[in-house]
Amino acid sequence: MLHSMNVVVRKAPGEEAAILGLRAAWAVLSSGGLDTQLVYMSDGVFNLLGVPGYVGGLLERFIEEGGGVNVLRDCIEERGFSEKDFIAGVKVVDKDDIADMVQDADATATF
Amino acid sequence: MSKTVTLILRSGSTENDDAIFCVKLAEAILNRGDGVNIFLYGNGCNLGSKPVPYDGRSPISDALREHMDAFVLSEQIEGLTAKGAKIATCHTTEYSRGIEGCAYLEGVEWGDVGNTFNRYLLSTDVLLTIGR
Amino acid sequence: MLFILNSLDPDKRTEISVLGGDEDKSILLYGDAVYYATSAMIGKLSRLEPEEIFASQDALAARNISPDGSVEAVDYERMAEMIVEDHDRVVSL
Repeated sequence: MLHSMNVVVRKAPGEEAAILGLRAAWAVLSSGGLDTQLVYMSDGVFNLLGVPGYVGGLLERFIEEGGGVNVLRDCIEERGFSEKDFIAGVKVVDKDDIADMVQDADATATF
Repeated sequence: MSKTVTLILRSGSTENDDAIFCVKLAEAILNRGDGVNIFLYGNGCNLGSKPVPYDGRSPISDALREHMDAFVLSEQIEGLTAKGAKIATCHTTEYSRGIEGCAYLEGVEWGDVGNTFNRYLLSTDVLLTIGR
Repeated sequence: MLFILNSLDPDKRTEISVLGGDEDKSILLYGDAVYYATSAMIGKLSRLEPEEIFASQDALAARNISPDGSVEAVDYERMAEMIVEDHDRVVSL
């Protein structure tokens, strides 16, 4: 049985995979069953710039409900952004932190 | 002790190898005596629908039809549920594709991320996401 | 830990490196990812220093390609075994 899960989102908001990952993470967090962390990397970082509508609202609710939202520093810098460009509540992490999160969680799902 | 593998399939039929891989892997897992859940998410939800045959004349060549038949997975999916796999769709992704009201293959269930997917996770030992 | 690759998207190689960190890694290839299993392309995976590389027998045959000597061609029975039994972490990309 799983007790904790990472949901890694690697796609920009225009691709369905981005919202599928967020919806899955939200569903797992709100059911109360698993400790859930969202990890944004590659083009997934664009989801953190304040996307309007349902998608942005769901991400904010995820954060408000205690879900962890993490973004890989290298991917932000490669794309010319910085932490101040992101919505509140996002934690910038390094590669070693993500590798630790993968080892610490029972499962890592990628979108 | 047997384990349960949950597969989140996000690719649909034909677009790449993912759906075939998922179905064949699921069968191999079941043949070991382990359990399988498949959550048909995103384009994967198309695989839950019962095919609707075309009655008119179809100009598909025999060679092309044989090639395309490899991507028709209805029988294999019904074979998985007959062997005990739990397979459900995400009805929201069906809704956006206009197929929420279509009949399901034998054993495939209407599902959702909030309840079905969570229920699958409760019994999961290994979680795989298959898609692009 | 085992990583499962289904395509030649170069970002996925970076993702293996990030998600896997310093852990021992094995890689299972299917779909178009089996082109990495050829002698021509195996170098692109070697940089990840995997312990083992496996490639789907079916995917290799469908593309009429042979794996490099360092790659083990596997059937679905073996894939199921490695996913269920052999690794404590499995991540599909």
